[in-house]
Amino acid sequence: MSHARKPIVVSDFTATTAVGQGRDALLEALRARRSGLRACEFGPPELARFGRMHRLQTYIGEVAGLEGVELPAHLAQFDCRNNRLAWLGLHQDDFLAQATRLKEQYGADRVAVIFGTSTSGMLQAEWAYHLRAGVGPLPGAFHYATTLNCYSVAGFVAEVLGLTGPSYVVSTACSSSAKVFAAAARLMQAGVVDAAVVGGVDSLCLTTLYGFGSLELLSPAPCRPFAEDRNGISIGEGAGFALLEFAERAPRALANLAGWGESSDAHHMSSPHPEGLGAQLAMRGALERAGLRPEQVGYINLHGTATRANDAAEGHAVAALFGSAVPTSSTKAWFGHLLGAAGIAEAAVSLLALTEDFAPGTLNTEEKDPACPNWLLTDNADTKLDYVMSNSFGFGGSNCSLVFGRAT
Amino acid sequence: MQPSYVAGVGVWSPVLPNWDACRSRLRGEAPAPIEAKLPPADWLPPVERRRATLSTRVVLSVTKDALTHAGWEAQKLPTVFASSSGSPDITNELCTALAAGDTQISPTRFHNSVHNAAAGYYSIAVACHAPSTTLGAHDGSAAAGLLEASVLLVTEATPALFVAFDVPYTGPLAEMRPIADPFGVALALTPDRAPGQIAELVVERTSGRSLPLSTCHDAQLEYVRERNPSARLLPLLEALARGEPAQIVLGMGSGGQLKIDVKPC
Repeated sequence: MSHARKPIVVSDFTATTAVGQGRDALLEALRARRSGLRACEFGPPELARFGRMHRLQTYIGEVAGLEGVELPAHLAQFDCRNNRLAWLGLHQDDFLAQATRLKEQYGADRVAVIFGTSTSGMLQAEWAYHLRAGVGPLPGAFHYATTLNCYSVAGFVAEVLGLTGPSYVVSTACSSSAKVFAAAARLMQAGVVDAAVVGGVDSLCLTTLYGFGSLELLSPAPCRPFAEDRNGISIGEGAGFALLEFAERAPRALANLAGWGESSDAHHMSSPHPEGLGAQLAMRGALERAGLRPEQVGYINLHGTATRANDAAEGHAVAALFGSAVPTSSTKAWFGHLLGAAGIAEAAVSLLALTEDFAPGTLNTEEKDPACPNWLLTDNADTKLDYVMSNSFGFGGSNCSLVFGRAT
Repeated sequence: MQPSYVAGVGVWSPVLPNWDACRSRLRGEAPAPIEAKLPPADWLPPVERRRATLSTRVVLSVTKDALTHAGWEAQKLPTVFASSSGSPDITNELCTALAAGDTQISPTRFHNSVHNAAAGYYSIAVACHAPSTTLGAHDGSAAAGLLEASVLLVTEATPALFVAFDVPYTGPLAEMRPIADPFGVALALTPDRAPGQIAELVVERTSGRSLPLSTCHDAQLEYVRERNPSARLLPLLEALARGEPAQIVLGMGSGGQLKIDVKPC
């Protein structure tokens, strides 16, 4: 390795999902084992005038109150469900103040803005096509670049925070907002920037609801990750954010970004490799970068979508590297599968586990599938953690594992 | 940043069907071909080949072209894909069907809608398990991708394949976001100097928007450059084809500019 690596810390983070707004709401829901999933009745105001309430035989993790979020007038062109969710999420905890501190400390031009999303402002395009009713142009009130284009949310956050460093969106389906940590850390290590705002935002839309429906991957009940009778995912929406800085310059640190690993399945567009080969490569890469032996990881937050194939593959991959020595769980039964925001939301869960010294046990799953050989927690466990891993795997065979370490 | 070296180039658009043709054209040695046809995606197994979108076929064409020129194996090569809109034709199909009340989305159409679909097909085609990122930054997508690829080379001391691609929207989105023709480019990049390389690149991100953006000398290609986000790389291809030193400047929206110093090898 020719390039010197300076340690990077997470100096702040927040997440907003169906269980609530901000870190405390997430922690409280995890502690109380309270799920935010509800029977699917999706009728956002964008679609209400077309008389459609979308009732699917499944459960969703919808973030309450998005219809009441109002963006300031100068940001009106960004208005869509995804950016409202971003706005709501940005205003939780101490995040805006910390992001402003970052801008002042390093300069607006030395902070990167790297975000993950899968569907961006797709609901806004669905609305525009409904309004068009099959003929003519799209309505003038539909702003393509600032809503539908996948860059929308990174542009929005850069504008809100007044940051002018390099900004782009990583869009690799369900690994998107895990990979933003790797992308931002590389920009820092290469000296392009001194710090980064990373995160991910994905919001409910008809495309994902009906798309996963046609793949027959929607669970009719709240999802049960790694249960023997699991039968699919619960889709959710959410927004999460984190700040990355070099340890030597950060005035505070909640955790270390100890390592990351990325890989490709090269197997199938929407099914994982049966033995989780790509997942193994990603986890191994993250361990190697962090300089850790498997047994030094205290808890793994699994991708754990609760489909038959995904959990089986991930369970085998985890067992291949960690045996049954490391406790693991999936937290998707709390807020659903956030797709492009899954990586950041579950990074937030992993960071809470690290800072609060507990590992959340898989919700809704009483009996683990014996065919999955990983050690699955089904109850919360109080335990001191030095390192946690968070897994995110997506369509197209895109895999990313992150390792966070206790702040020193 | 430390220099990187271009070991191979791939390109596809209806007027630039491969790097050899592109190079001759940009050197003024050959006339423009009439509307080239996209080659079949014969790298893919038959099932995936039938499912491949236009974007995927462009990506497979340019990656094959670049890897062939570089003489590289693809299996362990990290990749960076940049695109403003991925598979925009699929977006139009999904929105049109949903607005008509058709909620029976084809599973293939759904998985083809992800921004990294072309990257996924590519990884299957060449059996590559290496890390791969797909990113977007609207009109700055290609510049952001080249920045990400350059940073990957520097921090990981690895060669990588950088790919930028954009194809036109169909339906009413085409008026809102005009993209004239499909355009794809692939660069085989390495941090190590070796014989037979095309050029040395020194990539640097600069703040603000003060430098004039690079344009094409060729009027027809300038038209293409302006109308496809990935074709913003055409001035870089011109410099590579002519074997002349050049400084290329690409816009990255609110995120500054990318300055590329090109020195022929």
